[in-house]
Amino acid sequence: MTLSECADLVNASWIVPGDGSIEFHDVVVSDLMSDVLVTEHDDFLLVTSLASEQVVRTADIVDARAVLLANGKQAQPALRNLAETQGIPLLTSELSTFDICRALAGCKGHP
Amino acid sequence: MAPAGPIPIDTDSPSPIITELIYRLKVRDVMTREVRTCSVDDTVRDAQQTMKRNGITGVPVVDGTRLLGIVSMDDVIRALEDAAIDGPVTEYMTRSVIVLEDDMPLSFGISYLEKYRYGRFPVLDAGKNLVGIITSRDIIIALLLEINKEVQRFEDSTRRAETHGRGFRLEYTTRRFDFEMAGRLSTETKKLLKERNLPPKTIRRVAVATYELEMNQVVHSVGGTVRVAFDPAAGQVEIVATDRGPGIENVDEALNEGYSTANEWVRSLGFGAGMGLPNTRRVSDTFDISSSPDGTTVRVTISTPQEEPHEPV
Repeated sequence: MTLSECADLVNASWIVPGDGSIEFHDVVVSDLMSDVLVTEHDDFLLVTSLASEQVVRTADIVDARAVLLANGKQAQPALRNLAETQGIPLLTSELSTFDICRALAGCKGHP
Repeated sequence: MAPAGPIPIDTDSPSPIITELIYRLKVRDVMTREVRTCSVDDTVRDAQQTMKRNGITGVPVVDGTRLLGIVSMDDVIRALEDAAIDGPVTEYMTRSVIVLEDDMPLSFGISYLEKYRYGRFPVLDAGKNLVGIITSRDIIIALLLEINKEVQRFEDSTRRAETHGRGFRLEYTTRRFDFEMAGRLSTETKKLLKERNLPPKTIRRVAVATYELEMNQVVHSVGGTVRVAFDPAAGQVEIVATDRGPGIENVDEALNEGYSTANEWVRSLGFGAGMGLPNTRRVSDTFDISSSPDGTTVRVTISTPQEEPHEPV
């Protein structure tokens, strides 16, 4: 699935714009960055309702392709700046984490 | 007027940097140079209009550059009560004005604000000419700007780096609860390893270990250092995290997943779930930890593909 398709599905808006044609093959959903750090996935979308800078740090370390903030979380300037510096697209959706999972679940594995 | 009295700076609590700062900065570095003034021929109404136009609450009264007095909002109100708003400003101004000299350290300005309850102090040069005016706003702005610079300098001093051939050593200092800075070392390490074309999986393991160790110090210790050294000839990355306490009470328990002593606030930031040390151990090839109340040292290595040293043939 591409980032643009995902953004449409969950009605997300872009906080730090990026390449909408970025493909990802997996979605990791967690508010616990330690769990994200141990994931074996590559090229995935990180969905979280945590909006601290550590989200982007973590995403960078595990090579996540983009970060989607759930529950309408907004990014503070520090988070936005870091995402820009690291070149990690950042989106936000008003949907709950559960509803985001529901919207994306059908698509996983069927690119 | 000559400076007098003790400077009310609490010598116990401010950092030496701040103390040094308020002595190094002079009043002239902080004051506003464009002073709105009244002349001896002005009326109280003129003074009041000057205040209104410029959004200020006090105006020095001058004869040329010589300071005669200062007229404040209170003086205007007094004139109004006397129905003398069109009377000469010299009759209502305060003549005994507390002034600062332009080459005094800023500490005097701060202590004056505390000692005398005036909102502003005219500033005179050595020749007793009015050269500026200083308010608490000027002081706050100047201090914020300078503190920003100092913090920048301090942050720069928390990083040390050296390279030798393809190898490198990086060291960052961490501070308790400084989440903003945590992760800088892993980000830079990752970048350097990428430039050296190491396998992505190896880079990820190094980055995860470095990040968890940085985070651990920020969350649990009073601060310390984390050092990463890449030795291509030895085929390994070594990460050593050393903090200054308070130590881990039960190391065996801390190595169990889910064991955590972190508080709710740390957990709300997405950490402190008791995964730090187990995660670090999981991605490492060797893992050593020692801890006492004086501090904890974690030393891990991660193997990298061994490279031939670049010796001349």
